Amino acid sequence: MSRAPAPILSVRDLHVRLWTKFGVVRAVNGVSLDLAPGEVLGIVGESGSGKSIAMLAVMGLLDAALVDAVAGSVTVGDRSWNDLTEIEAWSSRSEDLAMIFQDAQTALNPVLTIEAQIVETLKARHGLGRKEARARAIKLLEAVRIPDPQRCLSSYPHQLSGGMCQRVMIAMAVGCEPKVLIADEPTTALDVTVQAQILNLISEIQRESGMSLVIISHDLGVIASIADRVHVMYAGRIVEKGTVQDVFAAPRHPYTQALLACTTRVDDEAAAPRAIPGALPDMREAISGCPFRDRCPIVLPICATEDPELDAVEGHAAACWRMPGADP
Amino acid sequence: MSIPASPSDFALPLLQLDDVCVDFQVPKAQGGKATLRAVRNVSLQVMPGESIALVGESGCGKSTLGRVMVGLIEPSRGSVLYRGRAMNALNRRDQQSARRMLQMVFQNPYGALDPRFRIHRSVREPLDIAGLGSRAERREKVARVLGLVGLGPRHAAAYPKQLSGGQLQRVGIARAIVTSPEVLVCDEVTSALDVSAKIQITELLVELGRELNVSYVFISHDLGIVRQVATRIAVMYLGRIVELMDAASFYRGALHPYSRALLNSVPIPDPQLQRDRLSKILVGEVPSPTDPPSGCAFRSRCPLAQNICREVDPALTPRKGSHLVACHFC
Amino acid sequence: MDAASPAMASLKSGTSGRKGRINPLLFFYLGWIAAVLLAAIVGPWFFGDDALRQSLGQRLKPPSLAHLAGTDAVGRDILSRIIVGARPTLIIASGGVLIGLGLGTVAGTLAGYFGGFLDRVIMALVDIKLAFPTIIFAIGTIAVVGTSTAILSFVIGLTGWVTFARVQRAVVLRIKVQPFMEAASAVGASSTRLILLHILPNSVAPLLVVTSLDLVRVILLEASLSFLGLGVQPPTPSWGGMINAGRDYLQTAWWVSLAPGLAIMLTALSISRVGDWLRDVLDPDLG
Repeated sequence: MSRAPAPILSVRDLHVRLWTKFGVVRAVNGVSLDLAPGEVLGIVGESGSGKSIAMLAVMGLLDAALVDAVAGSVTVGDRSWNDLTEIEAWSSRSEDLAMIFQDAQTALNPVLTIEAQIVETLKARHGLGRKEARARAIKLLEAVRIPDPQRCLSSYPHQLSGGMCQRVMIAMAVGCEPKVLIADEPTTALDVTVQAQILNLISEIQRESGMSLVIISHDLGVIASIADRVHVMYAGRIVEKGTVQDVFAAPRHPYTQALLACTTRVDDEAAAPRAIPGALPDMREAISGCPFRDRCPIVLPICATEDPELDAVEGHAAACWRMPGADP
Repeated sequence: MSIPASPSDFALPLLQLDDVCVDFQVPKAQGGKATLRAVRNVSLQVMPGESIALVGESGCGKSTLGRVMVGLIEPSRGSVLYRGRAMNALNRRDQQSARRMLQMVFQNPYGALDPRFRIHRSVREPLDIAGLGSRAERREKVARVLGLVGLGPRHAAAYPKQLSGGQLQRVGIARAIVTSPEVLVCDEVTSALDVSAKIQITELLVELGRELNVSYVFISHDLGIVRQVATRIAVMYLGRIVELMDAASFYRGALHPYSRALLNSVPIPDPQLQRDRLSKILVGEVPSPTDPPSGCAFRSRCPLAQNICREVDPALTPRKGSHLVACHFC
Repeated sequence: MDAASPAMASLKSGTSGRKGRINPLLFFYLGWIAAVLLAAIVGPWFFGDDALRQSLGQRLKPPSLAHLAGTDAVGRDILSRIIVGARPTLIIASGGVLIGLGLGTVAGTLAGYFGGFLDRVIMALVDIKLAFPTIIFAIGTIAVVGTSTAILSFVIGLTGWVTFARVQRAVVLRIKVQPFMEAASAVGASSTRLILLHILPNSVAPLLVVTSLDLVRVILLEASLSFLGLGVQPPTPSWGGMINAGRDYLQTAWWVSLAPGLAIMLTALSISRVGDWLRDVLDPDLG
């Protein structure tokens, strides 16, 4: 994998602490990542891995009332932000970043027509007049394969199916011509046949526009569908990263191996899925040592005291003391 | 529950649905009411010891059908027979004891337990309602059932909000099996859980099915999970069963174009294979169940559709062995 | 790694208010409620005489060391009267609220749970009640049957049940569709069981909020009725009656009305804030 192009998005040492009903949780613990222009990055992890929180923090969309602390830096193109707690940071980053969510139906305003929402976005973003904005909206809806764009524009969100709402969200996001689209579980609420359509759509639009894409999912199959590279997250950190081919064919971190082993498949007879024993560590505490050690089948004494760093072999990195190159 | 005494008992289905229809009246956007045909002419038998999966996408009627089986919804037409006797013809007491044999585990583990009940009280509730056993016997039964699903006294004393999704789903199962039912309807019991908890719950269900000799009706949209539990699979589309066959051959030998599309749509964790699968996906979305297409309900999305599909709704007809398909062209 | 990371060292902890943090003012509110309750229980034993003793030489004296809240038009100590007046005020208020709570909860639960015709009848009664001015209703009733603590409580309760009924109906409609209700039906729970064991316990938190708001309303209503001369009859002191008695002297002796007014305001405020806090503590979804 070439390191040549300057990353379009880069995140350094991101930490997030959030208030929950259980107290302050260390949701993200030192996440760094780089996204090349035109690249599709998959972020995979179970709930509680911090994958969505990390990207919401990058967007500047964390609920300020729930944030205890955010630290780290975000660079988009040639602009950097070092204080991620600033509220205004969002509007400045939103020029280059757009995000779509799991539940498109509630992400849209229920009392406004699709036209009002999409046209206002386009007017505000590109300074278009009403007529131009409407024409552009129809083009966008056609681009996301909505069968009858005119009718869609005059509809309210509840009159559209979940799949249609997600198409509208994609159209609105793409209409902002972002450099990076962040898709947070965009197909989780959808039926499988519609999920396949939306994955295809996102992938096509990404290729046509040349924007970069971050797709967040708990489903390894979704990541395998469209991502070029994948980051595996566990307990708020990245434990493995590499190309999808490398990571899926030869996972190096025991967590990734366990995650693959508990994924069911509809195509392959042999594999009976195996559950991962144990549960996530208590995220309220600062974890010393490897966060996966209590569930790990190949644990070493050092795992209890020192947290392994990500260590790359030919672009395929894992944070595990058992890995060749790691120095126990 | 007693194990069937004679071989002839094995032949008798525990639960039999005959030509069941469920219609709902729903308000129309323009005012007035529309008829939503949630389940259309479904006939199905649940045999002792089997695990039959109802699969399909949202709106296909699988959850409604599950609720008909446990008596939460009355069918608009058709009948439900428990051990050969029509449920609605039973007197009140017989009906209650029959319904104890038909229990349900619900989709949302966080919502299906009263937040103000401690776990042991939620699990005991079915016994309290049925008036089964003395207080001490009930307490002992609850502890035993919680043990069966892998929970201890510490969990028993907790409130629902103190447990994880996987643990709550175990409680849901404990509550459903505490009256020793013969049929357990599991409605999307894994869909709210993380991958690992999904597998644990499925393993638990399979194990309990063997130990307690209980039959399952496993409602799910997750064909990967269904594969781990089901012995037979019924694929539903817009209120109808379009294909019914044994699970072992379903994943290779499904014939109905919808079953095949469904199988192909499930993403698999293999980048090369998955990209290939994505290139041949189903078009369109499920039509509104208040206004289904004429003839075959699937024809609006079907790659095989011809004129006859517009006019004649194909009946569920046998192919090889017990394999049933409703399609003119396969 | 977290603690040592330079990034984490620079973290500022958020300070904005959140659920679960106890507001220090809450202790003041709780203290005030305790003081009022104590006054209602033992006040008449200690201050009963002072509250009634007239002293024409001490008429309309402003607050001083001898009379901390001043004296009224016939020279009675206002602070003593406030302390003694707590009992009738609280009895009428809590009696009125309990009657309203009981009637309203039953009506709202039946309307919400069974729906249909029963719902329409109960909601029609609610609308009729809402269209009828509360004070007129109270004046009319008291004019016909006279006044006593019990009658006042009853009249006040009858004016308050609609709020409980409407809130409880909405709460029941929300609970009715919760998955645990279906789960209880699936194991054979009867309507009685669903209502008594599942719906009512889960309605406590919202009803508690309405109860605290209604206590406030009822204390003020009792004050209004006493102000109109329909409440607790002299010489027994009640807070509303005391405000009424000071009406003529507002220009010259403001303290006569101010002190009972403050007592009503602080009590109402305390009940309402403590009610909010209890709701947060009791609500299983927020806890």
